Amino acid sequence: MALGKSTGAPFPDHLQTPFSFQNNAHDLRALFTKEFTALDGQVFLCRGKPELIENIAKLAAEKNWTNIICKTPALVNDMQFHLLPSVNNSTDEEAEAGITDCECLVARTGTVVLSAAQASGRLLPVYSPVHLIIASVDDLVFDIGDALKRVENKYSGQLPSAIFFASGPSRTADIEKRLVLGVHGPKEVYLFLMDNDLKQPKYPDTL
Amino acid sequence: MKRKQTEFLLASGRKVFDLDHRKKLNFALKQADAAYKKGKQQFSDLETTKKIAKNIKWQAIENLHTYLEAFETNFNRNGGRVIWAEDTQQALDAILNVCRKNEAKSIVKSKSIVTEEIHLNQFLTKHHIEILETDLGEYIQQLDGEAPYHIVAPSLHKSKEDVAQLFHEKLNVPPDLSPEELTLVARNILRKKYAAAEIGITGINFILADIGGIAITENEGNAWLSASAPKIHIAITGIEKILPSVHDLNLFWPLLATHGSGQRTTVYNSIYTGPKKQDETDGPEEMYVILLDNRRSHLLADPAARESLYCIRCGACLNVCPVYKNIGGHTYGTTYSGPIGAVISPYLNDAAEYQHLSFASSLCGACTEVCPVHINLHNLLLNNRRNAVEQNLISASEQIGWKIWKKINQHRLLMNWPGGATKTFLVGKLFRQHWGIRRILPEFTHKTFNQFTKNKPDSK
Repeated sequence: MALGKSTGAPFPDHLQTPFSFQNNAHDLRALFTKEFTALDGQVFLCRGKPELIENIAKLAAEKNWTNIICKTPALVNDMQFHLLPSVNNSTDEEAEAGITDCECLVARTGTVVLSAAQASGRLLPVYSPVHLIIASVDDLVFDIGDALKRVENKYSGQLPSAIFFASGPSRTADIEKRLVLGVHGPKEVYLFLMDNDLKQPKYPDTL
Repeated sequence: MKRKQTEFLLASGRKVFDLDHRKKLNFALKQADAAYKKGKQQFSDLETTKKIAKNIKWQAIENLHTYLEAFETNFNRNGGRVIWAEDTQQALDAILNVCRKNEAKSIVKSKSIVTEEIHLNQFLTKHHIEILETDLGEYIQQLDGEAPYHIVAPSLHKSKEDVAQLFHEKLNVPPDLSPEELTLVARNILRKKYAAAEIGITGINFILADIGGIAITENEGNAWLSASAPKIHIAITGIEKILPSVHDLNLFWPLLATHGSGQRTTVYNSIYTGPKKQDETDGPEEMYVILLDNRRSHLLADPAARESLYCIRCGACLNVCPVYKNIGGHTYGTTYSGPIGAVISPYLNDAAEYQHLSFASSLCGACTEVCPVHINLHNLLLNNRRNAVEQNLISASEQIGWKIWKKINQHRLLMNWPGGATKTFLVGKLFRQHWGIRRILPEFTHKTFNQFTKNKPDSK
């Protein structure tokens, strides 16, 4: 299928021009929070595990969740989810929400990066009516390209069978261009961002 | 006049005077335009970005065979299988084979214009296999038994009342549901289908040569579910969707999002590199990628038209086109509508049946201006016109008309000989039909150009 006749480069002057979005952000946490919130996601900043459990418990009580699925052993053991009676309380099919960790977070686009290699697998994050993500400030990178590099390095060339870049709740504008959330994926997305170095009790940039 | 052209002229005539259609279309396209203007602000220098993007697609298409082979090698290594399909029939047979081998009775499908191109739904239905559209817009169109109206927004031409009425008739729900309620109805019906289906079929936005993967862009989550819940995933696309590297997505994902739907990034951008790995929790046991030629190699073989293969199917050229804005998507009578559809349809099909689309343009260049990979669309329309003339695809009466026109214009005496009324009559005879019945042909003046200039006192 080799081409009989080749065409010249359309813009020879730009053959060596690299593409990247300008990184003016001095605070990736603030940038991520701003973008994720703009996409109808919500961020809870947590100083350590007790505050994380407290935040999840509060949200679960407020929403009347009776069954939250978590398939990540590290989270279940490490985060002491047994303190939350609603975690893994019933079958997956009846779950009101699902909890997962993530590969990393893209600040510029407010994106949570997930993969099939995580214990939560492919389906839990997209099938759950509500998705709760537990992440750390160490997971923050600036752009999509940085996230791809991080995933490639982590799996050293053996990429997971699927990598997902999820930015906020599922949405559609297919009926008269009207925005509706929660078509096939989750209608609500909450991110619990762990920052153990935080000293201040209140953080105005979180919402 | 060819059948397709006659149909096109009749349908155009109807659509441009259909005020209800115009109102709905204008409303939707105005929203799309506002979103695009907001979305593109993420690029500090969009023009340079588009140039870089075009260079990358140029590199990919000029070395298409190398990249496609690299993709196949890498995808095989990941445990997937590539199926090469030269034409529609080979693609359909390949899908039917996979269905039969797995005794598949139901299939969930996400948005894929290539499956429209090969008429997959009709084919599988004929073989008694249920195939369900899962993208909300496509689901609406499937319920209505109608083809997609727009490559990105399939049901763009329907008002919320139209959809509510359709759901009422087909799904037996109350007739006055809101868009939120209608979406929930579709969600609840389709959620059961993902788990029950044996096969999930998706389109592909980018083929990634270096990792042997594919990338899919969406907002709803239905492609993610279709590629993950059933035990078999079949992804199908045209060979031109190639990108050299997964790292090109850093540019192409935001570029596609902004030009497709005015977003900075779509909600879900996913990469699939193969079936479920041994230590992974869930995912399909088998994954196939079908690479369809279907005469794309005709575009590849023609250096003048080749750049149309750089297209990333964002639909931006449709949204800005004054012709599309007036006649809408279905009138084209093609799988791919709008400017890009007019450019590629004569190559992907019988040229004689589709060349007329390239003449239905004012050559205003709005398509070229908005294209995220800088395809010179209006030049390609001109290229098609030239092809049509060279291949004698123009009607005999127009050809004779131009021959006489040329003869007269090459001889001053012939130009000066008849009076203005005779000239007006003659040109009317030759070109009235091609000029269009709603346009008035200009009349010739009584004086010839020579007389006019000689009588001017200060002429030299």
